[in-house]
Amino acid sequence: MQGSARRGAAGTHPGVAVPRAKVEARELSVWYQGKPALRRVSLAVAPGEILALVGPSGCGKSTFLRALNRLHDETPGATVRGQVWLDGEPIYGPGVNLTALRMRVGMVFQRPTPFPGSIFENVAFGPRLHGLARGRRLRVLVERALRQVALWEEVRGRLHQSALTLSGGQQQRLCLARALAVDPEVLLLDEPTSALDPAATARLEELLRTLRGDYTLVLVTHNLDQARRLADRVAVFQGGELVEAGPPREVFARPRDPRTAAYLQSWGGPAGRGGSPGGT
Amino acid sequence: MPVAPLGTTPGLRRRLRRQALGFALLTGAAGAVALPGIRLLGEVLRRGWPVLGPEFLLAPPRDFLRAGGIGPAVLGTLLLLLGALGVALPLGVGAALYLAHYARPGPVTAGIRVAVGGLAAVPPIVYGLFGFSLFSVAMGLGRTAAAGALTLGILVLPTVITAAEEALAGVPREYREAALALGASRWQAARRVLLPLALPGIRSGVALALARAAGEAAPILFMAALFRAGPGGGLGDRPLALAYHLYAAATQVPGLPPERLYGAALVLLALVMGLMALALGGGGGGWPERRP
Repeated sequence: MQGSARRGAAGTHPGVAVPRAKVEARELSVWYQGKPALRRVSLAVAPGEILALVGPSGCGKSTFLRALNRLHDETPGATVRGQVWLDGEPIYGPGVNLTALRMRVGMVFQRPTPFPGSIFENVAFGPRLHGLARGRRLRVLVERALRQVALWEEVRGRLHQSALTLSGGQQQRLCLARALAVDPEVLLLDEPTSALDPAATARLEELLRTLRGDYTLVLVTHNLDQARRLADRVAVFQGGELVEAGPPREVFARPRDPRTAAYLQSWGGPAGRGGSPGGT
Repeated sequence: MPVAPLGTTPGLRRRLRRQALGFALLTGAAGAVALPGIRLLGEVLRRGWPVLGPEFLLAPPRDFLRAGGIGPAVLGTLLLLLGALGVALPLGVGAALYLAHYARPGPVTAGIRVAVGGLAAVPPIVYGLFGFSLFSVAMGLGRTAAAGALTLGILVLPTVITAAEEALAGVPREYREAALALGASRWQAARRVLLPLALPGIRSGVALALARAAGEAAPILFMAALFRAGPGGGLGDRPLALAYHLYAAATQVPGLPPERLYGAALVLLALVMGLMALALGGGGGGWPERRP
């Protein structure tokens, strides 16, 4: 199944009949200190879908993800070639403002990264930085973001306590709220549940499901069950290359590439065996 | 009754004897290290304590230091420390930020690091000559507290840079990336996220640096005065300082009751040890461990 909800208009480009991609990478390559980490990857993300990037460690999936908001610009020794389009606009180019790009493409990391300061200050960080709202409007915005991640009821009475008083799962949801507070269109998620326990993982997955359609999500995960549960499409990476991409059922049940088959076998989970979805 | 005896054999007894001897030697070594310190503290405390009092701490000296207090030297020390802080904090933290988060690895960065390491190895008296010729003579500041504070600030710069760089490097890189990914500029990420996270480490380094600056007489040897005739005590006046006071009073004032020197030494020790405690203890309000 393709993503059910779409935000972008179909066929707005003259002569293009397919729905326009929200994010599209073409011939994207990345080197770290001259060593190739990603080799000529072309991959499109449809508006409102959840795309899961899977593959063994060091396969290039995180490298691909970090190219979508130009985070490699901040890593000494990283070189990027190729191009990424966001709504048809190239993001690698002289006229591109990184702040504008990153306001539209948010990111959540593997480990929770609560900033020093209160819960409120964490969520308000982006809106304050960009002057989006102040006073009452800022409080409304913070509440909305916290409600979006189902954290509002848990923290409404202690918004001004340190973010460190939250549990790991709550901290990760706070980081998600912080990313949502600047109202991005695309969310990059780099193994967002790998530091969480199963219950917190389940909650976050539930949350990501509610964001589908309103946001375009690109999720790096080690967990094939998670990819099967959440993703509209999965992209399998290996050795810095994109091996194949497609709906999880097809990719997991009938891999077209022997490398995918080998990876699924090595993983050995239910998803790898093409078992039923939704196991915990 | 056990078949194999659990008791000692001659070989085991020999090993145990050797172990006991080793422990005794280590204990003795540790004691030998601690003893002079304790003895020194005790001596300063015993002989200095009786002269301490409001007058000694606050009042200006009389009769060529033989009576009155060390108030101007205490105040002068604090002024020099404040000035040195004003020099070393922005320069040191700025340099550390540059090294930890802006500089691309390469010959320039390596050169800066070597220079910082080299600065740390320069003897204080050389700083004194350098500071005097640069700040007092070449820059025309004269023998003033401003020149002394600048010299002390440069002296402790390596300590501040090293501590701040370590503290900044200790912040996991995801925090910086999380700020950047929200659209923060590098400077915004540094100021709003990295510096607050690194603050406990930076504060320790700064306290350690100030403790060092408080205890040094050599860097301000060519600027400081032992006492002041009239009023004064600003940045534009000749600086008075406890460390210099100890050196100069001990060598230049005949007939000075030694108890008054011990009293000044005790005040200086208390100041330095207080700063050390601040450095080691962190003083609360830091960044607690991340919860699992």
